Amino acid sequence: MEQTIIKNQPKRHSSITNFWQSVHKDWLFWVLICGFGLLGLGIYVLVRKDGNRGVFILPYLILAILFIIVPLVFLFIQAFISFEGGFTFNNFLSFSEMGGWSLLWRSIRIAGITTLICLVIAYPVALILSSKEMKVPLIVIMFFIVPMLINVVLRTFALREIFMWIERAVRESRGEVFNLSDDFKIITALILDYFPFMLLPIYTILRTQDKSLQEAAADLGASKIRVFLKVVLPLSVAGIISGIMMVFLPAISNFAIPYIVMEFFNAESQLLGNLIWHQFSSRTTYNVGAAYGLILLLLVATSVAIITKFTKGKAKGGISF
Amino acid sequence: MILQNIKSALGLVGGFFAKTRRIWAFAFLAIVLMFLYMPLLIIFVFSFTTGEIGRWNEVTFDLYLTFFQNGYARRAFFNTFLIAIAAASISTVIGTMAAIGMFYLRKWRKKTINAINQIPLTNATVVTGVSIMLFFLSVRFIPLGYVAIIIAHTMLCIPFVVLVVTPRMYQLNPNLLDAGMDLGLGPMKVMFKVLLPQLLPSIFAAFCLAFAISLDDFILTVFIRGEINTISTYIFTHGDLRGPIQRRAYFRAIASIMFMMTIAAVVLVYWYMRRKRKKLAK
Repeated sequence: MEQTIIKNQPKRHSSITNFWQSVHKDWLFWVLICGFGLLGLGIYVLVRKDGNRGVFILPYLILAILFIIVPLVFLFIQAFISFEGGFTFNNFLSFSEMGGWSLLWRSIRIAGITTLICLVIAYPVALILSSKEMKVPLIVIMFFIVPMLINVVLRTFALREIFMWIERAVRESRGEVFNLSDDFKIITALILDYFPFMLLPIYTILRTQDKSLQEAAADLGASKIRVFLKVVLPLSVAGIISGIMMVFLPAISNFAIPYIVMEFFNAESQLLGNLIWHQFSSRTTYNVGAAYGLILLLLVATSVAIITKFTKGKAKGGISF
Repeated sequence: MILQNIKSALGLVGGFFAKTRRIWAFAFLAIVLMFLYMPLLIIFVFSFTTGEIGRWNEVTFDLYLTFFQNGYARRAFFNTFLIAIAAASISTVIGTMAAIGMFYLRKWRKKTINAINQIPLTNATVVTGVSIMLFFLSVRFIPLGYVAIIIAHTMLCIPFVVLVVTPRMYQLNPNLLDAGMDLGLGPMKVMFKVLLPQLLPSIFAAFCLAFAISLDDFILTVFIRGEINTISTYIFTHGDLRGPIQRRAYFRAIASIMFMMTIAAVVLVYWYMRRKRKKLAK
């Protein structure tokens, strides 16, 4: 899809005129102008107000405005344009026709189950890893983080082969058709993929916790369970919330894992990310894809807002190392 | 009466667990680790034989040979590391500068930059990928391909670099900078001679993290790759994923090579850290 576009690109000497042609819609042009205006304002304010050292922020600020904020504005504009050009709401309306709402609900459910299981497994692991009396060797802690370093696609591919092996073995021994359910496969793959992201924030916050508080509670006569429920758990809420954000939000929109794990692609078993991804397989539906992306963006923004509201901003940042 | 019995029974069980608690804890850790590593380990074992997983033919290196003879796969492998090194280097430099700059910002300016920093972290990667792709397609001065991928990965990595370096900034002694200034260094020289050396460990950690994130990324790459393939997009889009076993068996070799390299890297880092710790102990 993108390849044809690259080939059709005009020669280098006309790239500047081509750039202005591509900004054929006036409002796109104004958006860019406003962006650079903001940039100038930011530079002025930063240089004048916070002393010389604040200037170090500038490269990042410029790049962030150019490659994070402006693209999001582009996404927003594209979502309201039809393929022929011109303002339309049809991109959003097709969301329910494509079964988007049920898919959204399904994605939230599967991501929720994944997050819950990850949390239930990761919390005890983090407790054991962070406790001083257990004396867990450093290399074991490192091995819990290693899966993060191996590519998602490779890990999921490996898991898929294992699923195929299990299915084949059962089929041969029983002599009947046997398939693991798609949901089971997807959830298992998601758990294996996101487990370190749940473990790491909880482990960090448990390790830096002040141990004298626990000792004080024990001295005052609290039983071990009570110490855990009244001291350790409340103080680790921030880590749990970061973990939930690190697992739940990406799990909703993942499209690689459902696609790889399923042996035959089944439209009913996909997640929201797959729906968005499909829109980008043909040039005519890019705008529809942008609209769905915007819906997903709103969903993420609301869940972040809900989480921060209910926890009164206890989760500092998306992740803490 | 019954309650008391239950309580004493619970106490007995608790006592039993308390005595062997370390063993139980390690058994639990071992089970979780086994689940995490089982797929990759099985793939690793069966990368030395052709044919379906679970059917052992004979020990050969055929899969590895197939991989090394496949020019496209080799190219994708090379691209992955090229992009990771480039993105990690650029994002470490810009991210460290940003962390230093952010430290000296005040009030709403700091809050704004913090909010901008949070966008790529919390936003769905699909949305980031789609928006960057639409941007590059509309504003055509950057073609899809190496440069686009490196830019996107850099933007994804910088927030993590900032998150790693910033805590270290707060731990530093601010008087050291003033001392440097008093001793006649210029404001920029103080940065390079006093600040940077102290930040170096966290900068190194940030570089490793950025490298790992770039290696791990798939969703951004698949949208803006153009005609370039990395390992992940190669496997994903090659169309052989559901094909006959002969055409996808060599994916096992790729996965095994990446697995071995990662394990080797971790063992190396562990060895280095232990040596450093011993040095400190002396």
